[in-house]
Amino acid sequence: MIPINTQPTELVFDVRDVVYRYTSDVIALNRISLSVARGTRLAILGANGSGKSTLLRLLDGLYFADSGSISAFGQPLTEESLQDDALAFAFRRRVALVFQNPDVQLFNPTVFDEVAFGPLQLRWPKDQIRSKVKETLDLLEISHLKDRSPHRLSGGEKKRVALASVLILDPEVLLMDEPTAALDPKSQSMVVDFLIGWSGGAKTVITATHDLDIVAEIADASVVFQAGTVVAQGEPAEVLRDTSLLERTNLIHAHRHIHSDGAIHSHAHRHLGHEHLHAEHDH
Amino acid sequence: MAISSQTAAPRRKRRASFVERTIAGLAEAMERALYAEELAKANGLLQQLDPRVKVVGLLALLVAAALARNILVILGVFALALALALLSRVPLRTLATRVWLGALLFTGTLALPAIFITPGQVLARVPLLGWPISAQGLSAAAYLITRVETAATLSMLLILCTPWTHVLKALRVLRVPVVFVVILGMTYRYIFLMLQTAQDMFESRQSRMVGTLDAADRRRLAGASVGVLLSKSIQLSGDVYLAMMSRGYRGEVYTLDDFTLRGRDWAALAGFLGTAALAFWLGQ
Repeated sequence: MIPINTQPTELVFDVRDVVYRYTSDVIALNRISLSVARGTRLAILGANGSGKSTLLRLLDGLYFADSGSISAFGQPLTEESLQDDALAFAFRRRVALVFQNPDVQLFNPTVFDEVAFGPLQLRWPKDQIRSKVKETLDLLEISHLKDRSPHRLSGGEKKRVALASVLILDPEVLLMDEPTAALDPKSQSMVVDFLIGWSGGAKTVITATHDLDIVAEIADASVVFQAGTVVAQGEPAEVLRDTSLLERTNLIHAHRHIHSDGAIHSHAHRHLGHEHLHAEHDH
Repeated sequence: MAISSQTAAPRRKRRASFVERTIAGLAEAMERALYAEELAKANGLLQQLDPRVKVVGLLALLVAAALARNILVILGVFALALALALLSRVPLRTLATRVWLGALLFTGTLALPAIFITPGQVLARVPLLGWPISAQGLSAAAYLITRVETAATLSMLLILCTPWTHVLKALRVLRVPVVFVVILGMTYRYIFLMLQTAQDMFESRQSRMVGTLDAADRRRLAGASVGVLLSKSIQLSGDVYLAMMSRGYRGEVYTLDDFTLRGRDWAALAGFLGTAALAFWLGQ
């Protein structure tokens, strides 16, 4: 098992030897073990198809493991346990998932209805829902969009609405699937700023991403996935320094180019922060 | 190489291809929806009323017109619909192209045989064919057409002067089950995503195509596109279901209805119901 926190505090998730298969032949997660303590900001790094999104869906109680076990807040997270209304409502209230594709998450006719959907299903009093929706829309600066249909929103606006739709529940754990995918730089910056500042960093945030630019800012722990297994873990700075690991897991790529003298060479290539870094050249 | 304008053959306007026509059709569908959304926000009479009042009031007028046995009463309700349209800033041209023409063609086709086959006083005969045109047949056709035109105009006024989301919520006043309203709302929301996806698919195809497709290829393209869209919509529906579950959906849907009836809504409702009752009484 890979412990993801140095603090001996309460575990939010405890994942042990989890196997999840799409079909009998295709394994999405292969004997994954990790534990996440309260307040951890964890980045799950991996290329497309490495199993990051599947793990998030397992942690959100949407998929269930073929073998192994997952505990959430000390309770087993199983299909049977979520049959119980009280337990399911408590879990949904505490854990929220922001999907990679906001169009999946914005299924209501207007932004207001979208943000109100979660509290309505959890049977909050309607007056409380109205005031909380207003407060959440103000927080994410999207009050002017409240009557708008999702198909008339930009990508950045959709992402804000998707965030608002889960933040209204004031969850303890936020699961983010590729939060900066397909966003323009300004919207990416909004998402990163939000993740840095959300609740003063006191809550648990698990972010699946292959955007190495944001990892150091949004996470204080990281795991690297490859083909459904954890191949490395550690502090983001340490993982990001390991060029050979990143290249092996397709998080950075070999870059080939021609010099003015006609010589061709290749080297590992990545963009980090505002700098364009080149690792050792390999002529 | 320069081409002399004198030697170049005059260019015929090329007939739009199947793909181009499909793209244009999809774009037009989205434009129409956007136009309707903008019109629903205009500062007109109907736009300012509570959606439930509009649903109940316009439905009452529609029923009165449908039950009337006096064509003048039906025409009176039609004139009222026209007045409401003008006061609600709905251009008559929009009604003419979107409602009247289509309703006339459709209903006219249905009503045409009645003119000739309804027995009664023969007013004239069709030249060459000799078919009789009866007064009763003309009357039946006129009733059918005016009733349909009036009903379609009233329905279109509701749609054009009310955001679609409010129309759906207002249906609850007619005891439409909440799950039905929610499904219609989701359909409305995702139809645009599917329209956009379809448009992207056809534009992608168009960008790689030279010349025109023959009939068999057009059928294959249409079939393949339908298949891909179906597959995408199935994938999407699965993901949307997960997103609903993630936020507490447990098989029953709860909605927030935020409408409040004000003084002018009550006055409008009384006006609609009073007019409908009068039309019903005069129409008998």
